[in-house]
Amino acid sequence: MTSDSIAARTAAAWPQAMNASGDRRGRRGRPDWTDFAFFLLLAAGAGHVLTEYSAFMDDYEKLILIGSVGLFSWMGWLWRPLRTLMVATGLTALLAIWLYSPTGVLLQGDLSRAESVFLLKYLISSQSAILWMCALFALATVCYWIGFASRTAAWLGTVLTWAAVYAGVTGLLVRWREGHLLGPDIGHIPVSNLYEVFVLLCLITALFYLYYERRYATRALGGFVLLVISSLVVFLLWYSFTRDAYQIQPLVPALKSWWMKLHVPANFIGYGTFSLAAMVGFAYLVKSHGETRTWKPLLPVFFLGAVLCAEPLIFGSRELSATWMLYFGIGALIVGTILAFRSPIARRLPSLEILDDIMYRAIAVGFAFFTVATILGALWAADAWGTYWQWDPKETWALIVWLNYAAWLHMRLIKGLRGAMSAYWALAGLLVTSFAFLGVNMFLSGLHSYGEL
Amino acid sequence: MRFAISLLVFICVASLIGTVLPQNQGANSYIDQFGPFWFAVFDRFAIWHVYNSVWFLLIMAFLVVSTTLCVLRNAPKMLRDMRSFREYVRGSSLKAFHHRVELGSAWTPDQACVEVGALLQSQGFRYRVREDGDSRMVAAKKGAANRLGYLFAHVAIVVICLGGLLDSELPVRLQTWLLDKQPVTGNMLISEVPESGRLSARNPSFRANMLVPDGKQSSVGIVTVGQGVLLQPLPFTLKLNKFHIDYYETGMPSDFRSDVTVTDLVTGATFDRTIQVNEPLRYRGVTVYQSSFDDGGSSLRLKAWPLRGPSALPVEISGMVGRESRLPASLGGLIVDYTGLRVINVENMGDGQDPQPADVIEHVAAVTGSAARPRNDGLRNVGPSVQYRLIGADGQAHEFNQYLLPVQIDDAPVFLLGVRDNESQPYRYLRVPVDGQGTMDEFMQLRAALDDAGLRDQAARRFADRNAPEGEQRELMFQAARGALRTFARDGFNGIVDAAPVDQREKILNFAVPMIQLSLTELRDLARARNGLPAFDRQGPDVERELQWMRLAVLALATLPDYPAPVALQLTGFDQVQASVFQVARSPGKTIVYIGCLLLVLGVFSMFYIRERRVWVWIRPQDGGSAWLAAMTTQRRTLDFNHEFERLRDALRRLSGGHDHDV
Repeated sequence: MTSDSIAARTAAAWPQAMNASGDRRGRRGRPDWTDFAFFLLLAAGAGHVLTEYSAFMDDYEKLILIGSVGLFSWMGWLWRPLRTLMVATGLTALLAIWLYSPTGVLLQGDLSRAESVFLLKYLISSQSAILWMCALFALATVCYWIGFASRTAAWLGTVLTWAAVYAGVTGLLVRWREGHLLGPDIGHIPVSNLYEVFVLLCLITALFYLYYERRYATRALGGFVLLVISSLVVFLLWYSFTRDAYQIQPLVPALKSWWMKLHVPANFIGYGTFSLAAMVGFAYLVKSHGETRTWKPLLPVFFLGAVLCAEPLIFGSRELSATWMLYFGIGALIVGTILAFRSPIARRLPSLEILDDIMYRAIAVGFAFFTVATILGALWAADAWGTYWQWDPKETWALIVWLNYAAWLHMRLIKGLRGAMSAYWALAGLLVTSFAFLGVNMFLSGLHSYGEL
Repeated sequence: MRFAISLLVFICVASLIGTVLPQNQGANSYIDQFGPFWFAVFDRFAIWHVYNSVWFLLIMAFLVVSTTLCVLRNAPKMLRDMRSFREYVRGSSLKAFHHRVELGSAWTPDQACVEVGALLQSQGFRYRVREDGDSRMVAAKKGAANRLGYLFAHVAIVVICLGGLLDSELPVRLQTWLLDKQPVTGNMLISEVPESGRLSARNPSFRANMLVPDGKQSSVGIVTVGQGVLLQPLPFTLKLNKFHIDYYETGMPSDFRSDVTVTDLVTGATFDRTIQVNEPLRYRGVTVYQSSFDDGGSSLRLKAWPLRGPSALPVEISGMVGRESRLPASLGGLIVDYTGLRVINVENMGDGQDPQPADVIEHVAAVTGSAARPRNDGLRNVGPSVQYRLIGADGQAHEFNQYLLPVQIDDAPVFLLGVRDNESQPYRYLRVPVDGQGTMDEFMQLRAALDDAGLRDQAARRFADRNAPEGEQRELMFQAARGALRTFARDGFNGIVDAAPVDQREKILNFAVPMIQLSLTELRDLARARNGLPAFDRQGPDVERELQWMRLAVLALATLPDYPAPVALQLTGFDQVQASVFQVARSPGKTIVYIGCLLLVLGVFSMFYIRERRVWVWIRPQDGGSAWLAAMTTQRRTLDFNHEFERLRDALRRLSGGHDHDV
């Protein structure tokens, strides 16, 4: 019984075949002329930046720029659709930058044009693009769930998710530019505050999902993974509307460093894949309970799902906000409905073996990058605060998350733990991860605190 | 290993507790939060400094030892296994493998051996051939570095912990214990600290703070040890030439840096440098970081207003931030400790909230990343403020926060006099209305008049005359007003209310409040007269403003009894001296930890992404050629492995040119 036959059985609903590269090549093989062309394109861009603007960059930033040419070329070889994404978002961002300029000279820009130029106002200024991203993610969630009954809806879900990622990346790039237009010292890479990293987290989770979707030839997980992305979107919108959080704020002195470009994205690769793994774990449990008649074995799953939905309530300010009560209610309802419909859903989900494999892969890559990110954080702290580890709550919680997933991997690799237990663990890991990500900043005081929300 | 895991869980829980309970604060705040009983209980477990407590360190040490032993036990086996090709596997035992294929081929065993070897090599395998008579066993492997990953990762953990130990508090604690050092707990000048309070200049590992005021220099760092400090002499002198700080409009510092001159104490060499956040100075093994900034001993000029007694005369006093002084005897002789001067205070004054100045560290070193706070429109720079503590004769202290300029709250300018009992509580404010001249003088005069029995009675008399008809009513009203004013002067409105039975309270308050208000208006005229000012003009153009002043004054006087000090200090001028706070450290373990981190990254990535595979092909002679039995195995079975096996199987099929037997 090979995995091919498993794929063939589910292929009735999901037509593509499983492949190792996640794209049309099937296998990655050696880089071909398109990879080299992409590399040359990136190199040309970097070269242009280095010659025109080298006076504004310090040595480390130039190094990072050169390194990123190699990195993005390699990522393009790793997974072809990324190349299309990078080119598309790059061109759109350039268009936005050009539109911002009143004279057509790219170096000049006038922020107020975002109110008058149609494309900027409704589509590609950073706030519009990010709002489009939110809307597209929400639509994609709905489409994926309908997709359990209709192949076209599922395909639409994929398309909308890609559109949302495109919108989000464009939004972040344009936001980078808008920050520079706000004032000479204000522009910075858009990963510096809670709002920006939420967008980043949505995008990373979605990209990893799309990769696994293609690689394992299944759209059944879309609904599950987009559940967590939708809750991120809900938070993002709430934060924007109640706190004007989308405003670009200047950086505090401690953040004015090239370390931020490395530490923060690496961290969010970790968080994104951990969230994805948790949702796949949820799908695993739905599938494994697919044929049960009684609801008692489902109680732990329901409970865990409800607790996850209740987390924002705990994080919120002292008085119970209406938004979060509603969120908890709807969340519990959704979890309950999924469990009620577990039988048809389970039939559409890929095999337990595949779900298990996805969980492992996601946690492995997340763990590797989380290790890198924590180490980068320690190196940065040594430069900024004088010591690489001082048991700051954020550092400590990062350690706890790291130990949690290290234990999960240990159990799997050494003890061979599979099955429902590891799925529960992955799902519960989301609790720990979200506390380390949000709860520490909001609940506990320390050098990473944002204060209460 | 199960024990090690439970210890790890224990460490997790302990670390968790350490994040929830603020660490390393003064004993007083903990006693306040938990009460003396629980404080004693928690103190036993050293919960206030969990990460440096004995048991935490012991558990970490145990884990390090346990990991080391595990690595030592397994490493030889793993290394041997990595190198070995396992060519001594018997051909027949390959039949037991799950992933196997049997093929027939026209080639002779020797030819097949070469072909298979070439195929395997093209797939990235390395192989060895064992000859067994006419049969050949080709044993191949690749990705052995995967095992190295395990070793690297676990060795890395040990290395990191050891390096971290070198940079922890442990070396300083050891020195305190072995060299008999006594941490200094009281306030004394650096030159007065005895030898027992100083660490050696050759101390290999320390983390110290150094506060250098503008224009001054220092060559000594302060190391915190338990409840006290030790001095750490440095091999150079650091002179702060100029401290620069820029602010954003929100009051957050945008950039701060120090221009320093470093003088080597041994060679006498000097050089200038600018130290900034994220750009430390490294010299002679010591690294100096721009950590924060503070007051460097600004000189203050204040007016001390008496809050008890019939006199309203302020006393001009001066003080210096960071130094204690004693108030004049006429004001009670209290000790006043000036703790801070903040020249810029950007507070959220929306919705009439009281300003709560946040700790400097929250603005300065934190990576708050400017998350949006609730609606920033209320942010305003309200001007300079001074923070001081008053220590009474009984040793009880309160903290005060007072702003130089009046602040607009609810459309009226008031002087804010803030007080709190300790740093874990928010400031409560006494709002003193600003008089026509823009000062507190008139309020203070009114207050003084309120404490003067004679003037009180006069005011009561006037109030009765104005508001009651001639005769007994007037006398009653006079007595009532007099009593009310006396109680009010002592205890505010609460005094009047508490004296009455519960069901009567509302009625009495409805009666007493206007009475007090009007009596105080009379009192105000008397006070003005006493100070040579004309009486309050009820018809004049400023009547609205004066009425508002009166309302606010009554409120302030009502809350005045709660103000826990007999004197209020008002800042009138200052000369600011800033100081730069540096963190000075020698971290011998840093390189070790960095090497450990590198090992960890290499180890983790190797473990996940270097795939270990072993392939055996047993080739034995058969009629017409050879029979092949190939098997593949791996330590970690994943879906990928199945694909790889299928590819190998297909490649072997093509190579053999034959068809397979039963699979």
